[in-house]
Amino acid sequence: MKRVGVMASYPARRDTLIHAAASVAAQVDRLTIVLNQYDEVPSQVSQALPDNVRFVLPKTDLKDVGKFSVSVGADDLVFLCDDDILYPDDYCSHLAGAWERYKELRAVIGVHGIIYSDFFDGDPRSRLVHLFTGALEADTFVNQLGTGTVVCAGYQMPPLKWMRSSAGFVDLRFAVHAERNGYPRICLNRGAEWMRQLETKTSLFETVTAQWPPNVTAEAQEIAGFRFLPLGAPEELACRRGSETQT
Amino acid sequence: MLENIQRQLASEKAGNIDRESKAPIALEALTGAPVNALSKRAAEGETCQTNGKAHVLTPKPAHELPALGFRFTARNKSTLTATQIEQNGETIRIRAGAVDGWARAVLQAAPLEEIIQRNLLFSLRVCATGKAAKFKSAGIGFYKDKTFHLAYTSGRNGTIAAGENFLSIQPPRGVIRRLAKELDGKSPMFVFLEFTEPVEIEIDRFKAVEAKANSIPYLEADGDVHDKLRDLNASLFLEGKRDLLSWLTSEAEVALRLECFETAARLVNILLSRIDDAEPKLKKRILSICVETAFGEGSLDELRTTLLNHIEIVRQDDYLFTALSLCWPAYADDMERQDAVSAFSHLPSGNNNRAFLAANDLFTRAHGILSALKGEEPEAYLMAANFFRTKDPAAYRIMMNKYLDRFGLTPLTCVTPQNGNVLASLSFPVSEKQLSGPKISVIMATHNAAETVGYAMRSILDQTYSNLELLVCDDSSADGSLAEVEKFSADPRVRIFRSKKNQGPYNIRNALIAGAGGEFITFADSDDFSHPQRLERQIQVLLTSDAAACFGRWLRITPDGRVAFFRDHRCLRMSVVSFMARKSLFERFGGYRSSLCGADSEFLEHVRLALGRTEVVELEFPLIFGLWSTQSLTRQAGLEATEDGFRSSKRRAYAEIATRRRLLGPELVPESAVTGKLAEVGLFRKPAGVLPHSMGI
Repeated sequence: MKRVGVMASYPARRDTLIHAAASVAAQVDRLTIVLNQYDEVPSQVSQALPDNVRFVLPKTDLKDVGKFSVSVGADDLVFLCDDDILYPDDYCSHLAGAWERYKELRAVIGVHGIIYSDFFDGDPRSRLVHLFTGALEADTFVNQLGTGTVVCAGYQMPPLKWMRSSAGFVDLRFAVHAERNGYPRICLNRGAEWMRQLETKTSLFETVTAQWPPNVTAEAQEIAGFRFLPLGAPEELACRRGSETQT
Repeated sequence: MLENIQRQLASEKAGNIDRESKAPIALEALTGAPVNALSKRAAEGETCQTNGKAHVLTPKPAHELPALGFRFTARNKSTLTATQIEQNGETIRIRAGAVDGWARAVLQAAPLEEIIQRNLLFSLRVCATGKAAKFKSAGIGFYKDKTFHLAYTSGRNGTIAAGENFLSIQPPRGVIRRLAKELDGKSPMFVFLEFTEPVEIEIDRFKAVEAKANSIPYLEADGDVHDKLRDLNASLFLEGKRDLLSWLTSEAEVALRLECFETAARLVNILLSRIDDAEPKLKKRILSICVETAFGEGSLDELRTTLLNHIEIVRQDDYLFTALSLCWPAYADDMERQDAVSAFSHLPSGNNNRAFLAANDLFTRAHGILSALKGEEPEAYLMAANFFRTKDPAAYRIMMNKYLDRFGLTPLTCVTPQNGNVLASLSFPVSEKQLSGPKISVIMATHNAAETVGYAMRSILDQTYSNLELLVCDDSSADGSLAEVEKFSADPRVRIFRSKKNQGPYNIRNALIAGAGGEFITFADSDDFSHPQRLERQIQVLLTSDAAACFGRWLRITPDGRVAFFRDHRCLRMSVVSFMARKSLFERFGGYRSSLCGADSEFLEHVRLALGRTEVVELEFPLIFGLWSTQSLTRQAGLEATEDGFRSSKRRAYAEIATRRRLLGPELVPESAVTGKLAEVGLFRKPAGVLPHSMGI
């Protein structure tokens, strides 16, 4: 499977973009970066990144929805990335291995995972957050993955039309797409600080504690809660599914 | 000022703890933004941040707010000897030694009317100056009769670490409304922090902020389960990492209390998969939830297996042991029956296993039953009535009357069990005294109830309360029900209607409420018998209290006279059909949903959530004898709600989505989600309208 990375950015993130993109580009066959609010590709960026990086200048500011505007093949292995994360050298191989391991479950794999209360009212405190910067002992089913740390097959990607109105909450919209299509979300085990966030004006804390408007909280009702999680650990379910397939 | 505190403490040490007649000590300039300073700052145009949004404080003269006060009290004065309290500028430091019982920091906040008018929330910063301090709860309270009363508690079992710990306390409007009825508006309210362990803390930055009105109904509701849910939702972020199993167990318990069986069942599966990691006490809670969900779903075989897998826990707990006995398979032969009786007749505590014995008709055979039950709960008489039902009708009536007498209700003059439908044989003495007052409209829908609608109507018309009208609508019956109803057409109090098309009872209720002439509205089913004092008792409550609505209880009785005992071994059940309120309340809340069943429960819970627990009164005595037959809606295949707690999947699905909509509000769970679910499970009934029925048409 061809490994393709997708990322969206904007001028204020130019410095972190270079570091984030470089850390991913070295691990994929192709990395496409959607440059919102740019009139042209800044030479500082293009020169700093390898040849397998391509740039797209959208006509309108797609914001974080931008990474869902990139065309990918159904059989591609797509790495959804953010422009403010430093990806470790073994990032793509670790995620690709997990995607392969849970192939029978048709799972989407990620590192930043959230499980909501079963009576989620929009309060950020009513979420269990496995931060991508923190450790996680075992692979875990979650309601939602942060789309800066996700790998999925091209056929699992939502169409742009579906994502278009979700700027600011693309993770949720992506999770709803996955739920409706029967793709469980798995948050991978890792050690603390395996991944790092690059310094930006918006802190991770602010991102995690941001309160959504009611219409977004309403959308979350479709995926929010432990009741939506498959029973058992991902590992054992995959084994079970695998043996079912063999027989 | 510190001297004042020390004098106060000395007074408390002398035995006046928490019983002070004096006002709490005033501490001036206690915090960076004390309540009384807010007005000044607001007058200067300052804004406050709350939930990330800026709100301009309404300018108010400072003198309208009280001086800030602070107290530190404890149940045991010995605690106070080890307590040091210092004030340093805007900060209060507390160092309390061993806490025996509880210790409480109490900060004067604002008068009740101020909280209401400005929808205030209170926030403060607390940080540990030594090791992390645990607090049991935080909330608001008030002093009455020299005693501090807790009015609202939140943030249970929290931890105060060093550094920034901001507590925000927003009393739900439902709680404030209740307090407004109990207290004078000028009563000062207090914020408290309660500790059960030694603490070394600093408190500062105590301030009041005008809060935005909350659009999520449960956050503003007055009720234990809502408090619990608020705490759960506010704690997942931290508690989920610390002890997820406990958090999930609490969430499942809340789901059950809210009748969200589908959620509870899913959570139980998760909990059971991790139960081996639980401490024995938590295991008991998990198994108890498992029992409730299994009975609700009717999955008793699975429950039996689960309980047997944890038999060491089950053997120590009466509740779990009873559940195991009730899901034991039917006896194959007498020998096995004897074994089961021997195994299950007594609970781990040594008491009789009444539920098991009653379910197997063994309890009433036990030697000396009546003497053993003498002085116990009134249900004993109904157990005895069940025993005499087939043997001695006179004794049956006596036992029933002894039961009614416990509630001061008029006794039966005649009842004939084992003869057709026992409810048709009920009669009471004609009351010489007729009570009157505002008119009550009693609404009854009937569908294929020719055999029962006659006694159901008669029981309403024979009420001791005279100013009533009975609106009966036949819902396209095919069995001659309408002809039975027509027999009462000469009574001027009876108004007869018929559905344009079969549409279910709740559409009929909505249509008849609109045309009802009574100031008060209530309902009756066409197969139930209302006790003659039912309306009298209910209207009395509504006219003599602040209650906006009331409902009573009922006994469910099989056609052959057996009083149904439910899995909790109780027979007196909540009767939603008896809901009574002013007509205006129905107009305010929009009437019933177009469902075949369960819409009255949804309506009641909606009203209770909106008005609070004190405005909807439950009368805990039997007002109705409800027919418990296979023809009843609650017993029909696919719509069951049975004695053992079973709810049909359709009812469970409806209850789940209706509860979510009620708690989270229409912004998060739109109307279409509920109607869509009703249509999906086949419960939706389209309103068809009603027509006045003229004889001969």
